Amino acid sequence: MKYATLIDFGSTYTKVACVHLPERRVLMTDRFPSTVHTDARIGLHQCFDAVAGAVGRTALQESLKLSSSSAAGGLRMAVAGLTRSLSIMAGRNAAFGAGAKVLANYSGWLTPEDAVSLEKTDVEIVLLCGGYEKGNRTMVLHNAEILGASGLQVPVIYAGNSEAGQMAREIFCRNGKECFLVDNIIPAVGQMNTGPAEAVIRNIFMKRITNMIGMDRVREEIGEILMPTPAAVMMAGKLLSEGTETDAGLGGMMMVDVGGATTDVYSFNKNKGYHYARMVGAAEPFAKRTVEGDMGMRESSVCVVEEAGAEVMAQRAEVSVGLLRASVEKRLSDTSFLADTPEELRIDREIASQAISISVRRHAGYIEKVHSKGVREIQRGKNLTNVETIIGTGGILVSGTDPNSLLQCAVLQEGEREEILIPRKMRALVDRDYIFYAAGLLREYDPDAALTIMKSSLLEIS
Amino acid sequence: MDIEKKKILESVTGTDTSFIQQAREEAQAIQIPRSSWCEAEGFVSEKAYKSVMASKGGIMYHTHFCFPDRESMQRDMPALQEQLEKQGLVLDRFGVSLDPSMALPAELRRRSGEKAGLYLETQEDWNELASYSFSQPHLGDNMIGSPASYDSCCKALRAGITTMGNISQFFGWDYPEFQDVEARTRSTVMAIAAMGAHTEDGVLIHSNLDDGYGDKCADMGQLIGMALLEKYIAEDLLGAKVAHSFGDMFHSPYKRLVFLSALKQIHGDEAFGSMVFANKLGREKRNLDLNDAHLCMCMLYDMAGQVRYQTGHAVTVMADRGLDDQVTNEEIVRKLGLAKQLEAYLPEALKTIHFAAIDTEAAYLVMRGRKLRDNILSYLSNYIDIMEPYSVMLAIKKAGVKGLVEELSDKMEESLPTDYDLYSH
Repeated sequence: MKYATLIDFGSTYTKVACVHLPERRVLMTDRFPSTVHTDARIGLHQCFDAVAGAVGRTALQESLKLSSSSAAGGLRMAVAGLTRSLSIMAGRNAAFGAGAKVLANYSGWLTPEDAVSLEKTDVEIVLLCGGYEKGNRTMVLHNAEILGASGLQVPVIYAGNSEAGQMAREIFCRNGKECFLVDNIIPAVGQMNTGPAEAVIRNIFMKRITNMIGMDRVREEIGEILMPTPAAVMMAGKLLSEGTETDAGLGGMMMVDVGGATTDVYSFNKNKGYHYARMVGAAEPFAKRTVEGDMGMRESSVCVVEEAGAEVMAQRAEVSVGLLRASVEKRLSDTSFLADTPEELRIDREIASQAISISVRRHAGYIEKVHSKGVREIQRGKNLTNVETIIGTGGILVSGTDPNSLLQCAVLQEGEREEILIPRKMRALVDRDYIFYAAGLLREYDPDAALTIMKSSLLEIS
Repeated sequence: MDIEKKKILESVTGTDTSFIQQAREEAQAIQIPRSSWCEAEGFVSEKAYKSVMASKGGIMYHTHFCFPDRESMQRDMPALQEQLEKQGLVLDRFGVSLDPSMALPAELRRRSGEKAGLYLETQEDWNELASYSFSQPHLGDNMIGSPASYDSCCKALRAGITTMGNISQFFGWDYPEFQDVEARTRSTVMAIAAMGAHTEDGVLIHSNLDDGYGDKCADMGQLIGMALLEKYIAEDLLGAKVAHSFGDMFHSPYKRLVFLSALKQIHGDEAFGSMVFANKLGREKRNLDLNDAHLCMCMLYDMAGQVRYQTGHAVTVMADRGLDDQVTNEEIVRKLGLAKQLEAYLPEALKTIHFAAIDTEAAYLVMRGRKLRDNILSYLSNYIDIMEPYSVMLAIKKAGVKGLVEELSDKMEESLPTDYDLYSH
């Protein structure tokens, strides 16, 4: 097969890339305003026409066709675990890794009030986890009872102690709720096994996507939607970091995607203890994704200002606080707003730099000083201090000016506490062709081509 | 009203133009193969490649060869490919000088004297031009617009050559050996109709505006007017697509960008360039290396223009020999290497250019050009059917572009003058 047609059905754009497989290069990319809320076929055919324009209709028909989707903003999940540091973290990792977004976390003994509050969050799926194998069963079964009796009408994935699995499932079935049993996310101390949970989450996500308007016809023309877009990007990042048998990867690296509503942070590195710190809490995965739903350029720009402080941001952007607040209002009311004056451009850059700075620091682990026998420091979360490559994607990083200075916000700044386990120095690159989703799709079919197209898309900016 | 012109125009009527439809139908039967370059690049057509490159602000390169014969081409092209690959350089397109006799109908051509450029007799000779996988051929002079337009056009299409000119030469050049202007017009219109039959396949009619009108248009608004007139004839009346080229007589970097902006305004999203030239003839004759200064200035601003306007014009790397002296492969490689070095400066150079001001100036050119086009067509409509392309072309040719432009340009408005005087700044 000579060409691959790779399509992403997003909530803002439907994107397409055509890859020349034998030569491992991207022939063309294009994007069109999303039509997933009206008829996804419209966007599909626009993509097909763009590819046919480049390689001809016959070549398009004969091409390998793969697709991903982040339509409708990603699967909305809640995680209920036993402890914040263990099962909640593991549950969140599973959720993010599968491309979902986490609207709510609950830890410890759930109460009926928790269930009511959960019902109001508009979640589509609940991940219930907790208890090592041969460990705690009581709390997780109690939580199953609370959720089972609630008014929630969403599927539940049980990923806790397997000894309580069947009983938990009976509780949910008795209450008319669907329950999927998967392997324990934290089977033992220091172990994490999120793969089975991620697979189920992804399948549910795919089912929801295919129920969208026009998607059944899309399936006739392009086959099944392979995976959620964030999952495709994760797979791409993992490939870029690890390489293939014949082509080396970049090693430890991070990716940052600053969007209108969220900032996604990915890291690909083996978690090691910082200096002599003892690692505690849930094991950190090699490939980790976090989504900061309050860190975005438009819909959540007001949250960025609240977190970073209006006075600080206004000073750095060299504007008045009043102008900053008015500008943020503009962004909230019109998410397609384009900065068109020097002041607005500075405000955009300041929002981006704060979103990156805060999101990366939330993603990374940290050192806690303790005073106990034999242990002076404990490490919670992922150690990114040895990561020296960061890749930026998303509008302001790819097409804005001086993206390097924005990405360098991910690095430990002068005067900042060393306890934050973020990188100390970084080589910055941008994904100028928006090709990562396509590489993730292509990975299973031709990993060398997928790796090559990613490397070709990267532009060093530091 | 000029009595002579009136007589000329009144003589341009009454011809049976069924040959246009015949040409269209014959051309539709031609299966345009993919050139070796298209196959290698993986694109369905040259235009598809240009479209993709232009949409990402990619820079494409073009040079020109003056091979004295086919043997030179067969020797030099593979060697150039090797040198380019060694240096990691890309030459997207190349033009070749055809022997001037190629402009004449075949029977006259054979009788003409010693050949000074590529002389293509058989279809295989034409096919050879499109057999180089590292670069796409372009045919400019002595093709469309010449007395042999239709025959040459069909042969080129059959070879997989999909951009050919040079429509402005119909109006701007004359062939002393062939005085039958009606026959020449007929052949040219048939060629444009043939190209129009394959617009969906991505074929483009190249027109180097400087060639045809450089000495006839004192200002850039008038030049745009002629571009609009060509567009009317070739696109509106005959269904083809025109790729406008310029540059030889544009020394000012500001004017180069203003003109490109104007072309973008008149073509819109359907702007597909062939190339923008530096002054091919070279200003320095004794020390040719000094022409690098002019070349680099042109290349940097032409690159900036492509990033901004995305018209798909290739940047040319020739500035000192014209189209009569052959350059060496080493010179081509050296100049492509210079161009590659310049690309690194492009992002910072773009910051220094005031595109809003350029676009405003260009809008004035377009206004002036539209007035000129409308005035010419309005004037002609007194004598001919301006919906009939053969009549329109013949009428303009017979009346003369220079006179029409002088008489029918708006006298009240001023416009940026062209830099026709090659040695002034």
